[in-house]
Amino acid sequence: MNVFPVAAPSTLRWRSRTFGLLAAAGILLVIGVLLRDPIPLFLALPLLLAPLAAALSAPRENPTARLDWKEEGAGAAVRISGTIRPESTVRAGDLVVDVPLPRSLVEVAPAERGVQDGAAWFRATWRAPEPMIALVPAPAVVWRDPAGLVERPVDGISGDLVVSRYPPELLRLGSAHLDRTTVLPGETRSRRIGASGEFFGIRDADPNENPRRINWRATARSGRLLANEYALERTGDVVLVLDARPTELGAAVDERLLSITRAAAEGVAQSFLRIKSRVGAAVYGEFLDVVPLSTGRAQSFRIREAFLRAHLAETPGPSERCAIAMRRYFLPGVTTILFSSLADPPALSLVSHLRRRGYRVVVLSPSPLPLLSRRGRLPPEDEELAERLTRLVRRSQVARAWRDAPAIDWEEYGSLGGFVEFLRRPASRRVS
Amino acid sequence: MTGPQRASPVRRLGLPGLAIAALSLLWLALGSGLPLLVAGLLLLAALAGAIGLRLWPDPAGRGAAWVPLVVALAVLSVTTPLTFLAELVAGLGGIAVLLFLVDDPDRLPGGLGRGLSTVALPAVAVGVAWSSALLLPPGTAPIGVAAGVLVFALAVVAFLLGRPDLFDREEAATS
Repeated sequence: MNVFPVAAPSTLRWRSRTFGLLAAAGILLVIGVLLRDPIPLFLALPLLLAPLAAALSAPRENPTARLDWKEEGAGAAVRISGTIRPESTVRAGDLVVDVPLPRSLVEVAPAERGVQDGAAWFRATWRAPEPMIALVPAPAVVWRDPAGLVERPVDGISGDLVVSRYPPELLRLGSAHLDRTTVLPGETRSRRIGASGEFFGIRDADPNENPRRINWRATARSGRLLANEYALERTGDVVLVLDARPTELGAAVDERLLSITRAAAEGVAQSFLRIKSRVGAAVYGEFLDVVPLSTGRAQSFRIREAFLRAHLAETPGPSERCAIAMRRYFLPGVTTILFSSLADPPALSLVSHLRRRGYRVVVLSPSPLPLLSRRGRLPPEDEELAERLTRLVRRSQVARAWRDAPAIDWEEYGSLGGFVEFLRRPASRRVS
Repeated sequence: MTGPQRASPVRRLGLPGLAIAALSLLWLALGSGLPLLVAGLLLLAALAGAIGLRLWPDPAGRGAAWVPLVVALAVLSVTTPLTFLAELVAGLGGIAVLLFLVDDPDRLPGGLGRGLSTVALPAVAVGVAWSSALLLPPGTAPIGVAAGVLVFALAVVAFLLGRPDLFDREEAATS
């Protein structure tokens, strides 16, 4: 994330339109001289001088402006709005704002722009079709002359925006039991209050409070029913591994799946960090990019940054490399949630390699099926048959993953209910 | 990248520039040495091309809407016999193209007002050149002078294109 604005090189840029005008003027000039006809010369004169006039009207150095922008909207709706206030003597109307659209978002309507109170405003309406987390870089702002012949970059535009949409079930994930990797996992206690653990405090009892939790001595002293509260122990550690290698599905589907996966992984990490569990993260493309186990607010930022940086690798690394590299950072036995589409043999082999290295793996596999749209090349019956075959292939892939680790097929991207329930019921986590 | 909201169809046409360009084209078409039908068809093709490209959904197409106007103006200016009004009309045609560029529908409204400084310098130059041509004695000498000035201007512009930093303000040594 850009914290400090980086000044663009202070240079006037000629636009392609300038070269077009000059080429036309040059041709007219040659024709006029060859034919000894001044009329084409008169036509050429304005075209020849316009770039010069535009350059003279440009500011002599890069103008500066201040960006104020925010993300609004809920659910699938994403609304980006902001203002750009010039700090130099340039007119806001001459600023050209280009808001980059992240690949995981869809444009609903063309961006609106205008000028109000000496500032240029813009409003973009996008849609998040699936859960996602994306970094929206600060808009590219240039000063451009009204004829569009020259431009200068505008300095001072900084501050990326993070747009995130998480599956809503993640709030319940904190109650899942995690395995410890060390006997004394640390001195940091959980933030969760519950019925067992270290004594935390006394509160008014509920009408149907369990009698075992009533503090009878305090009740006798105060004359009203009071109950004990306990600070739960931290449950353990979890490592989130993102498989960011390209698969047979193609770059477009892989990108969307990675975007969904990043959102889920980030949401899961925040859920566990909220209850002070130790969370580690790893992104595996060609090599392993790791955030070691830790907890707290700083760790939350570190993991967020790591997931925002995660991108699809150009060259896939071998699965064994990931498992070997994992051992350098994480002790075996730690609960490991692997986010992988399981779409090809290398993705499947990663599960077995991690298991063989001693990691207790749970696979959350975003299904590519909702993203594979019908192409319309086949008759409807054949399309249906192809869809059924694809579904069978998918089931077979998930079943093969189950040989090594429990794998949850995540097809309804809007809900992580199945995964949360799975983690909360330790009995179902055993693999035969 | 997200694109800007589309302007209304009337604004998208860039009417002031287009109207002046159409009048210049019409004047040149009526006076040109081309058969009237061919000149008329050229005029119509240029206007239809400019309007069609301005309404084109692709921004790259909209950005090239000035090209048909320049091509038609060039053809008609070459085929029009020399009169002092023809020179003025050709110059006006060039200025009309600049007005058409300034009134860009993909930019914020008010481009015509903001872009007057870009159009003013070429307009003054056309005025000076035309009055010189009107006042100087007829002959080929003024053409040579004009061509020399244009070649010089072209060389200057080519030099400036290669050195855009010349338009930058030099930073103080103490800053």
